[in-house]
Amino acid sequence: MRAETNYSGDMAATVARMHARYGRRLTKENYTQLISCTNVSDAAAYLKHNTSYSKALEGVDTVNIHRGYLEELLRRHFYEDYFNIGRFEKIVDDEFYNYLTVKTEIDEILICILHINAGTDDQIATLPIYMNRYTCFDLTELARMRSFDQLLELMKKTPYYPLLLPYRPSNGEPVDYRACELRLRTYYFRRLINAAHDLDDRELAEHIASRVDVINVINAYRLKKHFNADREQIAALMIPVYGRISEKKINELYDAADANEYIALLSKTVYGREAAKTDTDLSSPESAMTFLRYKHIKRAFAMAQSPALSFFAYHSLMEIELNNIVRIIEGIRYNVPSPEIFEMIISD
Amino acid sequence: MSSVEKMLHCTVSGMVSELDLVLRRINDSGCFHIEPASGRTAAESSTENPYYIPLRKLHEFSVLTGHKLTPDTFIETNTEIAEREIDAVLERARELSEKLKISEDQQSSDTRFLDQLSHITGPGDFSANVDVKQVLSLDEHENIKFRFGKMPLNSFEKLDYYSDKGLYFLEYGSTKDFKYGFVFAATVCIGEVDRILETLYFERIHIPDFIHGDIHTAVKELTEKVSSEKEDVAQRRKELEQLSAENAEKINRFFTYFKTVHDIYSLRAYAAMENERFTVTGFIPAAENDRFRSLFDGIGSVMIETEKADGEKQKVPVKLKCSRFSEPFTMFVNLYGLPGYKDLNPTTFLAVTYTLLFGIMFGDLGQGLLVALLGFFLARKKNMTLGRIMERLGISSMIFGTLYGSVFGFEDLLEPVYESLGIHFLPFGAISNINTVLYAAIGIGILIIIIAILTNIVMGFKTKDYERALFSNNGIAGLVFYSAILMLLLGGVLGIPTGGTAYVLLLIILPLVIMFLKEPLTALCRGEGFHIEGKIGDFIASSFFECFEYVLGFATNTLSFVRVGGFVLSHAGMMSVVLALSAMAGAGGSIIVIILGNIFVMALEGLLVGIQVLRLEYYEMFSRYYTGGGIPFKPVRVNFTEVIE
Repeated sequence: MRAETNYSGDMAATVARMHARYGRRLTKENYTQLISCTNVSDAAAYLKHNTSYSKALEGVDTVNIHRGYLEELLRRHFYEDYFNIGRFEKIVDDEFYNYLTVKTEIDEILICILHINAGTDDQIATLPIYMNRYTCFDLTELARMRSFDQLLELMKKTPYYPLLLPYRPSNGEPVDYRACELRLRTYYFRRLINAAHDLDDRELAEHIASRVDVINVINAYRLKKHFNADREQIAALMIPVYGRISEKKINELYDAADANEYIALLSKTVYGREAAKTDTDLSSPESAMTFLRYKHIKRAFAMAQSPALSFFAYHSLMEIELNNIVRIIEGIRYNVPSPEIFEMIISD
Repeated sequence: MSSVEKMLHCTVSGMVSELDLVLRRINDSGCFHIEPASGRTAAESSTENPYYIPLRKLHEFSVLTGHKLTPDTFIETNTEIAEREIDAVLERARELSEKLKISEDQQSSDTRFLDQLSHITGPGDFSANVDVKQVLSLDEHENIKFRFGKMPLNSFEKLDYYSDKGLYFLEYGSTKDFKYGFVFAATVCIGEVDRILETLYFERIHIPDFIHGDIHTAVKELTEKVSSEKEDVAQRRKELEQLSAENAEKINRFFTYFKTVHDIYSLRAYAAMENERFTVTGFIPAAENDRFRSLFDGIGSVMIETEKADGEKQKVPVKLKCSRFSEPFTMFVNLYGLPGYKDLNPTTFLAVTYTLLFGIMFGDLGQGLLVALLGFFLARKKNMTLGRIMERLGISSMIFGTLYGSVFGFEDLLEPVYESLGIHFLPFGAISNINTVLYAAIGIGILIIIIAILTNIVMGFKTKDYERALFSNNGIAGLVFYSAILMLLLGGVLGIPTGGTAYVLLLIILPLVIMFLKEPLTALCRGEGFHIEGKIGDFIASSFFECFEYVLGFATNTLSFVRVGGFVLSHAGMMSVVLALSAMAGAGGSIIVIILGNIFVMALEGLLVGIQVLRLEYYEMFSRYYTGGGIPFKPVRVNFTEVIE
């Protein structure tokens, strides 16, 4: 059922624009040619002259471009596209549509905690400063934080304060990063799912929850494979949001005796059935789950009946493309053989 | 329906010593479709093609100088002398090209630096007085170090964060994405500052030694240097062009020679060898037999054997035989797929129906004339096959436009002409005869469908395919069923009593049952007995849906032709809109609106009608009688368009 929204013409023009933009996505041939580049300069020149990223790299001299700078430009382009739509539709501060801003805030808070624990001070280098006007706290100030108390002080008037407060460490103790991460990520996904329900968009809520499935399934597999963690240990670290795999089913996965049994049980879930249908090799759940999510979200974008789902699916697909490019550029920079780079990217 | 050219399977054999001469004659014939050899070939016993190297050199010359290799008259040439001459000009081309590359690299590097330097316009008078050498000497200073370069704007926003790190950025200029300037830092801090600058993606620009004086003088000097380098590059290019022009005739002559002998030598891969004899097999059109044989007169050992090509045992290539009128329409047949050697050639039927339907749907005397003229231009000047098709379509459009009385959308211009001739039933106004137009369109459709079915029946009998000829929806059963339904409907419309139990049973139900049972009936005709392959349930289900699809297909295919009438009406409708707009535009703009409107309607409707008729041809006609799948007749000849593989 089409979700009711307040936006003019149900954002029909914007949805059409997103489809048009998605039509200019990188093709398999683009990826092949990009991977065949021998250095970062060539890759940047290829993106600049042969793809829809030409605008993002317009004023850039590709000859001496730094890999980090290229990635930053591409990431910024992704966020500019997101904010352009938000500004055009006046939804930048909307409870649902600002989800990428919220995600950035949470990511940066977590990075800050890592720096606090490590005693380092170079968060500023990777800080997406261009998002400062949208975030609910000053990102540059965040980079200046040297203790958890300072961080709490900065977060005082934000929704993150009550979330982080219980994790204030005792004297000299490091911050419990995992607990903070779990709390913040849970907050993020629950908030997003609630916003989707407020839009009366069940399908969107299911897609968001299935994103959590992918994260949980992959993380649980790693815990099982590398640490042979038991059900309690795994469950304590997982985001308590359930999508296409019910709580009962996912607990059965956590109960698996080892990684092999985990994969066998996974193959009996909805993802396992989809993997069988699409000839996806489930023996490597990381890549298989990411690929299945890509197919799922791609189908959602094609069939979406609501603007919110179109918006979410479109940016998910664009983010996948961005991550593909970043992986390729890193692969080229560190001389990873082409077939291996190919295996790292997610595409048809 | 016309047919395909009759072919002969041809075997040319002779002594190995005469192989090269024979291959050259085969190439010269222009009518020999060569077949792969079985067994050991002449290519296996010889080394790499000896003409490849000179050809590659000619290609290199073409790439270096931009000379377009063009075939000329073939002249026998001394290979050694020719290769020496090619080496000489190629050597010169390489020299000039190397010099050009050096000049281009220098220009590119200085242009880039000029672009960077030109951003140092700096704050007011200060920059005008900055002596570059003085600034450079600063770097030698004991306590202060500086870095000159550009910083992305995003990083610039982060500079404030490092205010306590002892670095100072002096901005000199900026672009949309970068800030240009100097970063100063105390020598003791420069290590950390360099690390910070790296994280900020600061790109250091090293000022070359040849820059002197203040910034503005430096920019001026560099601009002059770049300008002089541009001239140098232009001069180098001119020298290369001159080299190409001076040797054009010679190079083209060598190209013609070497490409010809190279391609002929490549044909050795098709010559089967046995002892001292070779054999080359292929197909030639029967009409060319005598001419082909005469080419080998005087070559003592050569024997030529020909026999009628067998379409069932051999993959005989197809050469369509067409009249002058229908020849350009082979383009559409090729697009769909050539007919098999034993099939009928649909080109004439397609040409006639395409031309007629286009004329009916796009009938306008004036616009048709323009389409024909445009086609004439494209055919003669651009050598486009589509142009020749447009000539025919334009004329057809003119004929139907005359009948409709439509000239550039004016529906009454021809009325006085018809009145003076005493022809009262013309012009035929489409808008005032909508029903007639639509009924006529369906009538044309029915006629075309029946012709297509009849063709299929003939082809079925010809190829002894009884399922196709007798029992299929496009066979006799389908034809009887379709005709009976049409008669029933026609009787109903005209009030003539048609039908009755016997009529329905014999002409409608029986053909349907035959189509339903076509598979076992075909088996019966083949003498294999009345049997069904697979499960009976599957057979009933699939046959039921097939019959359902046939019945539906007859209805939709017939109604599909309503579009013919639709376009007649839409043309008149669109032109009446153009005329209405021109009336609104007033005296000044009227003629402009009419011209623009005509161009718009011609482009839009011409394209749409062209595509729609092609759709009717492929889906409503070809699908009934034509399968395609033939292989094209390609006589061996030198391929001058591809210099080297």
